Amino acid sequence: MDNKLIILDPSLRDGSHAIGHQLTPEQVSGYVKLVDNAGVNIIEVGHGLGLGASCASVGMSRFSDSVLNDAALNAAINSEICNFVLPGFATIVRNIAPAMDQGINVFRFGTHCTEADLAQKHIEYVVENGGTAMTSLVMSHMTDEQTLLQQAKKFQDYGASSVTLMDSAGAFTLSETRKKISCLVDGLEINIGYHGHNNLGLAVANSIIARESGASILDATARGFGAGAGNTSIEEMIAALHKENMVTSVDLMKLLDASDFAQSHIIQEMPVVTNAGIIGGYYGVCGAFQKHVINASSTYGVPVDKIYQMLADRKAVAGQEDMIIEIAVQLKGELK
Amino acid sequence: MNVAIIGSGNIGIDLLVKVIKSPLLNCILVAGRRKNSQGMVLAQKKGVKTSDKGIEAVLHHIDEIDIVMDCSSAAAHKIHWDKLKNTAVKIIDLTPSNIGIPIVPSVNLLDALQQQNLSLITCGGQGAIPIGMALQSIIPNIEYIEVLNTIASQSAGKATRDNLDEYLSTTENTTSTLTGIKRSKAILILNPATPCINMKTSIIAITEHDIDESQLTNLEQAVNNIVANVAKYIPGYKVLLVPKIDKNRVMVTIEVTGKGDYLPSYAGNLDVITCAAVNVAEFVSQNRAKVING
Repeated sequence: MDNKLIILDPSLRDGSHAIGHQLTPEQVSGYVKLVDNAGVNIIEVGHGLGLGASCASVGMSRFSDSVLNDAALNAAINSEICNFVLPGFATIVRNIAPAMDQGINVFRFGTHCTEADLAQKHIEYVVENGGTAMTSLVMSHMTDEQTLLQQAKKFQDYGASSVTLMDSAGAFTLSETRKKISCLVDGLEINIGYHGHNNLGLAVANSIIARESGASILDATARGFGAGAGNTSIEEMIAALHKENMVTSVDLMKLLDASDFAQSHIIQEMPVVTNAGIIGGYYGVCGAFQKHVINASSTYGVPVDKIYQMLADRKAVAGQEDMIIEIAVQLKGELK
Repeated sequence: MNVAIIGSGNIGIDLLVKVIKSPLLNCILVAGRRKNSQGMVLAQKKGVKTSDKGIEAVLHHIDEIDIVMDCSSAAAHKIHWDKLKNTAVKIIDLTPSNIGIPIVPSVNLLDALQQQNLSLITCGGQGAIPIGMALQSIIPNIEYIEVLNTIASQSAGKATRDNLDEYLSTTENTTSTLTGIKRSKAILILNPATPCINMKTSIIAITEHDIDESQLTNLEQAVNNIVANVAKYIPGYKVLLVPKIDKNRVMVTIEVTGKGDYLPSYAGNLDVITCAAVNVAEFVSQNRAKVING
């Protein structure tokens, strides 16, 4: 395992959730130039749920995957451009092969934290064709460290170069981060990563703990731009890492220019931990649901916390946005 | 009619139980790959002849077989079809191979008499296409249709998982072909919650202009009518969320509970395709004289 710390910036992917997937090629190009210049290693670009995920239930992208990829590839000099892929949304023929033809060499596959085998064919395809297949276990607060290890081993066997634990609901506690990251670091040969959300105000602290526990990939976004309560803020995280003598290739002052650009040109509402965010993190509900829950709450006149509670009870996984309307309608009937 | 089933996974065995119950069908063979798999053992217990020689076993008994029901995988079905197309058997394909003519009993059952290879599409396609037809009958200018299917992780066996991409492309292609709606998108989500969730499919249709709210009653009526038709052959098929109009889109959610023949009742994704397959096989059997294997 390589011990160098890799910084992965998914602002232009996770942030898409926060702006209804309306990202433009101009925004992509402008931001990629600045974070590339700041020394960020990998930049993830696309729809909030990745390649081929533009759809009615989650949200339609304003620009296609290929337009956004082109903008990113043309703007990057040193950084790798990466596409997130959820099997079940994207397919090899429809999405992955065209992205590779376009020049995308790095993919990050995601499956729900207990369903790693859904990505086997896709990972093998990318590796056989000379690409890099990073992976991630989504909603990884929903199962224990031994199950995560067992699932991550499958990714490793398929040829993945890394596994990131995605704290998709911002539900990880500090001790949970230490326990889960350590377990994967000890049990696997490949690089381990952490992807935080800030629902409980722990995103930066969890990222530092993940690094202490042996993680070698950390995800963070401009000003925390991302789904729900927001991600780990990249400026805060880089500053905190450097003060802990945890070395990265990122120049903090140049990074702040990129964050200023994101704030003035991309971010519509600065991420704030609202009541909805706290409730989501507390119950462990996918951050990407937040906008949909707030919309359904106002359309059907039912409280946000009741919808969240029911989403948590039903153990909703990423991509189940359709369930929010069904729950709101059911609650409306019960409240009558 | 005599039936041979290829594949002894979740779908093959659920189908076997339903074929045994049918007064018109007689299962004479389950041909799989692994001799001692749970499915093979269960088939033997039911008194059905089994073989681990797959398609070769089917070819060996070909003169006794009227219908081959293939529950293997999309890639395997391509090979099976090559070996079966010059025989006299009818083929009902439950894999997402997209080779045969697609059949949804409530939509185009008569087409089952015209071709040798009948495709049952996918569980999502079987569940969603009737709803797509109902929506289309009231709002004819639908430009886009989405089929978001959520199933319990425990109901998805190895072949289903390996065939995820084929599931998506076959659901999309066939939904467009049968409904005439040009753009279609399929999504499949596996949810590991315990107790297991029932199969649920949301269908979202989008039109160019806003949909007139006064169409809501007509939409509900059309959906209820087709659901009643589908429920004749898939008893656990019902509406979970009645049509909801939001500007230029309408959404309907259906839920399917299974009969619990093999896996428990949450696995409606097995029943939606195995019930349809039995319905097609019985129809073929009743109309034996009219069958043209074109």
